[in-house]
Amino acid sequence: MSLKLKDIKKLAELSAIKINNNKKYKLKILFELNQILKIINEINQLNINKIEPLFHPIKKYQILKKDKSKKNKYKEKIKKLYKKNIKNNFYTVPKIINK
Amino acid sequence: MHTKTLKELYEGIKNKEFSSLELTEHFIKRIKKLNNKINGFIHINEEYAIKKSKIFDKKKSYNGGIPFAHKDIICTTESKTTCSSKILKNFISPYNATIHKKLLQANFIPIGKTNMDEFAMGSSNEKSIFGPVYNPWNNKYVSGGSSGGSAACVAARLIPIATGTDTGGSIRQPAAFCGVTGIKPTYGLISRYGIIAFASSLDQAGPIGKTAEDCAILLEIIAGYDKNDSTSIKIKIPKYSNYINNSIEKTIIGIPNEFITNLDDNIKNNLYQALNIFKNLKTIIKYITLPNIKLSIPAYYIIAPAECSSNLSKYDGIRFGYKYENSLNIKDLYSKSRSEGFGEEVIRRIMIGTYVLSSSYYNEYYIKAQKIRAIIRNDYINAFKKVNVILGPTTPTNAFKINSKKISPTEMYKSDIYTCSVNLAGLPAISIPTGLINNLPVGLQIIGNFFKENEILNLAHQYQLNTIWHKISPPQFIN
Repeated sequence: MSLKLKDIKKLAELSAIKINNNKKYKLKILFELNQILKIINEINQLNINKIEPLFHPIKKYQILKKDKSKKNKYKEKIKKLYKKNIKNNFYTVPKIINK
Repeated sequence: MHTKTLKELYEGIKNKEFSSLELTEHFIKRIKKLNNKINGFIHINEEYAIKKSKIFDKKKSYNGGIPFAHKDIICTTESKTTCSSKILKNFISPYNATIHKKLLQANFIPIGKTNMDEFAMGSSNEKSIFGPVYNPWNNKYVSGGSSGGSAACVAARLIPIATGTDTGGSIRQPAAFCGVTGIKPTYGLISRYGIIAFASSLDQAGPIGKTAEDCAILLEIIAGYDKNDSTSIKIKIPKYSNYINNSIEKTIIGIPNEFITNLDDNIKNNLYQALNIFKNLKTIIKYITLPNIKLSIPAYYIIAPAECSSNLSKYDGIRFGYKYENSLNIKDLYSKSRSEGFGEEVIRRIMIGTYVLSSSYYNEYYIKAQKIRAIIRNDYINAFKKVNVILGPTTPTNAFKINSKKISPTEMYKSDIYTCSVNLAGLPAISIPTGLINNLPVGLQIIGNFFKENEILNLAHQYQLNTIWHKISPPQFIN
């Protein structure tokens, strides 16, 4: 499997990355991503239908925490660190809607 | 003082040969004088380090007081944590990583943060907004990565010991390239709380020091269960620094045939020389097979980017980090903040990760890669039924020239061939210096069974008791 130039725009959109519209730049990205795909396509060498996937190397040891909410002990620290973003006790974000 | 091992520094302070303040000032002076030759340190916290060392000297506890540095991926409240990325250029964490807390509790003195490949993605330390790290043995060559700053600073004797993180070889490969010792512990041995995530099922922190004994001492301090990390494991931490003195007689060392086939002749000769040392120590050498090891690179370059694309989605220009100022709408804010904030290697990996996780290709790539991971882990489990440890080269070559792999990013990926399978399986492994080829260091990798850090540290220490490579400093950094 390999990517085509039209796939780059879609993939960038899904990745929330703005790609430069310059064709030369897009071709460079296409070339590099296809090189990576060439390496990862090597996984198709084995018949692995009956193998169970391993998502975590040490699965049997995992300790689950109690499902209980805790007070955020860093609230004051964050307020102090990011003073200019704090208004009326809230962390403000850039105005986006109705712009 | 900069040539002393961690054990010698502990004793020096205990015996009042020097104070923590004198030691800290000595290293700060060295950093100021020599760091521009390697670009290893990116933040230095002189005032804080001096204050901490004075407090330590007043305590008169005499257990600790030794300076150290963190890779700039480990969150600390006293300085910035940037991951060498524009997107986190001004980020100060509101809390300390668990390993930082543990080192402070053990009276270690944090001097600053070291350079790294952006978000730990790279094997050369050329991908940092602070510029590349230069190999202390020859500044035309790379330091290795992604923990290149930590490895280069320890090699140049700018710091006695440093932390690193290893997702596919990022402690062991720069340790090999710079001629120092670095250990990647079993997954879950060290808390990842407060360590900025790249690939959560592969990332593990560990020490980079001059010797295996130094690494053993630091590992004892930073290992252990942490309730803040659900992947951290509750086991009793052995006294590694005691265990390393045991005899290694009759230890069975496995050499995978796949590690020596097509290996560069110089690296192979170096490996056989190291094997002779182990033979003289009366170990038993056995040739074994890890039949699916060649699939570790494709599996790794699916799983790591997949996890990275998910972990890095939080950098959106809103909650923290770099923000694009003139956005037209929310989508524009996200995409422009990210494309301007991330470097090209990070962007490549996010895009590949997004691709392999997309609904059309999830089964084709991601699930298949996790199946290969199970096969690779089983290969190791079968091998450890026959041998105690596995030994081989850390890297296919020694350090390469800066910019030599710029044209093809995938060329760089291939240098992870001997290291990334260890992360996929979750095993511990150490790299130790075993010589010089063309005046550049070479590393040997010892892989252990799950939670057998004591065994690999034992072998590494016994090798170092019989060799000199860990004692040699790069010529420019002797004095």
